[in-house]
Amino acid sequence: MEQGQILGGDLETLGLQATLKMLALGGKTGVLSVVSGQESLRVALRNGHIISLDEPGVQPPDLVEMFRLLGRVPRTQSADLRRLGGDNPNAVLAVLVEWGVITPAEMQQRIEFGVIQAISRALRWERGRFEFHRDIMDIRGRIDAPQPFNVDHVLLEAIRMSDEWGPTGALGITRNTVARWMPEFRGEVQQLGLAREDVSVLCLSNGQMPLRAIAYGLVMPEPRVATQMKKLLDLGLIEVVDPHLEAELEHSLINLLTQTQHQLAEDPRAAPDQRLLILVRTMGTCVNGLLAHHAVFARALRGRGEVPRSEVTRYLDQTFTPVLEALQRAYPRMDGVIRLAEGQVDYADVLALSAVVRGPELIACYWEAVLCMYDLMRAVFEHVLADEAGKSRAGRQFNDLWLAFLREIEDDLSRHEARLAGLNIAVHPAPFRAGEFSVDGSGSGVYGYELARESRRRFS
Amino acid sequence: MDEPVVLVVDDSPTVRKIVQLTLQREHIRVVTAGDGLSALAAVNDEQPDLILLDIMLPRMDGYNICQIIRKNMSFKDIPIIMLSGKDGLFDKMRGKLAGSSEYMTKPFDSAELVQVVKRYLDSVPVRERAAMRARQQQQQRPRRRMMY
Repeated sequence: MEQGQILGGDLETLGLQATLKMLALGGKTGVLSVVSGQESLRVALRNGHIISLDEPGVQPPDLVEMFRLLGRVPRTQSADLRRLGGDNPNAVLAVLVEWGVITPAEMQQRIEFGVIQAISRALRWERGRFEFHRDIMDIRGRIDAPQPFNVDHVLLEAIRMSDEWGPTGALGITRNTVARWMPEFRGEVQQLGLAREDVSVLCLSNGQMPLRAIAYGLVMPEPRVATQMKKLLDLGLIEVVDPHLEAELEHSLINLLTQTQHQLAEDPRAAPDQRLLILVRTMGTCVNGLLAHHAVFARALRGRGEVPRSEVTRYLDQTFTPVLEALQRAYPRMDGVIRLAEGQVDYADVLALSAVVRGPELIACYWEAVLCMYDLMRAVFEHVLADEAGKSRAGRQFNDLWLAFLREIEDDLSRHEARLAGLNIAVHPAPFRAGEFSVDGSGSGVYGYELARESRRRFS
Repeated sequence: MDEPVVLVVDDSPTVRKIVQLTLQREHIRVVTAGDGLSALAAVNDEQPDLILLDIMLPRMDGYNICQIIRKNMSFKDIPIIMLSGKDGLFDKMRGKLAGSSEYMTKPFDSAELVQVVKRYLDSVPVRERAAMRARQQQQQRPRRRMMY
């Protein structure tokens, strides 16, 4: 038995595609391990062909449940199938072949599809490390597929699948998105003109299977499943959930709002200028917390392993600079005073304004800073929520929480507006122009119109 | 029906929502009150298993509410966790003297809050109260007289 590392390096120097190709051409036998950030993959090769693949930390698809939901295995037999196949999809497939439910060719096709899916995911990793070990015992224990897979073919299909995600990425659905049937749907599903593929995706949208598992179950490219899911979502048949992301967003949001609310409650009887500064600091902290969270969980940055900091910053700047510029046009005093730097909002100049301006002009500047920060905070939250949680039930709950927080800020602002009016200080009115601009620059959609109406009522 | 009930008393709607969202995930029913008098009414109506109580409240502060509850025979055993932005020793001592079971300082960590709440809810008297409440609800007995 021969063991030990025979090759290793950075993905930046030699990408996964080139590494696999090199090992295939050399007819190598061993295990290629790739790690990028939290993601990892192990590919077993024999004589330059892929014979097995392992994705540590990734839940294997529940094939038994899928075959039951699709009506290919009766409910009475599914328990036996689970007992015989366990959690290993390939073992389940072997039992299904034995029972005559699928052919050996279908089994081979399904295993190959799983390999292509996994390689397609890993092709997006730009940073990380790889190692190649001659771990013969490990390979022997992992011989799953009846026939080994050609590396060129697998790579070609994986690249195709990865490329297809490009245009589909804008749908707001990821490979980890979980969809569930809408309990309150009252229409006639038969009259919606659903295609066979739509019905299959609908059958598997039981709130437990991520998109990648549905794709595996239907042997359908992930981007195509995403397109069907979007269609079902638009028809109101399903709602999408991403439990992992929702949990992360909930944790970040709750802790961020707890701290921000605490900051907001500081010294409510302070002098007007000091109170306005507290508001600027409070909202600035909140915006920066949201941006820090989004730097990790933004859809455009997820699933790519370790992403360089410069790229994260570029993404945040590109996303939020148009919003800030629109706000600076609305609040000209804040042009260059509140800015984005290194993926965070920099408002240090607001805190130093007292050294430059005095009297009513200083208060007017602070007031504009508060309004600008308020609008920026709302825009950032709207974008983060739409991007990370979308129309899910949790997304609606987070929105409720956010509205409660905004009401507190608005109450504070309305008190200040009245206080400043009492002091005869002419300030920019608080119109809360929600809906007049949007993150995507289209002037519609992203912002909360519901809240805008509420704000108008409260400030009228 | 046998879910534990937690009463959250805080004048901030954000804090009430945050605690509600956090505890509902743990299958805990949350009722809320925004001021002292509503809090006492909610104690009477809902008979909570635990109370999370802010100190600075409109109409009646947290210390007073705590003392009133501790003097009432029916509700004196309900654990009360003071949840406040004040973290001085004096405030903590005052909370203790008023009869609070625990003192948590805001801003709190959601995981820590769940941990503390669960510790009290898992205690035997709380479980007994939950069982008693379930029995009472089944028998649909008329509500108790207001306690203040």
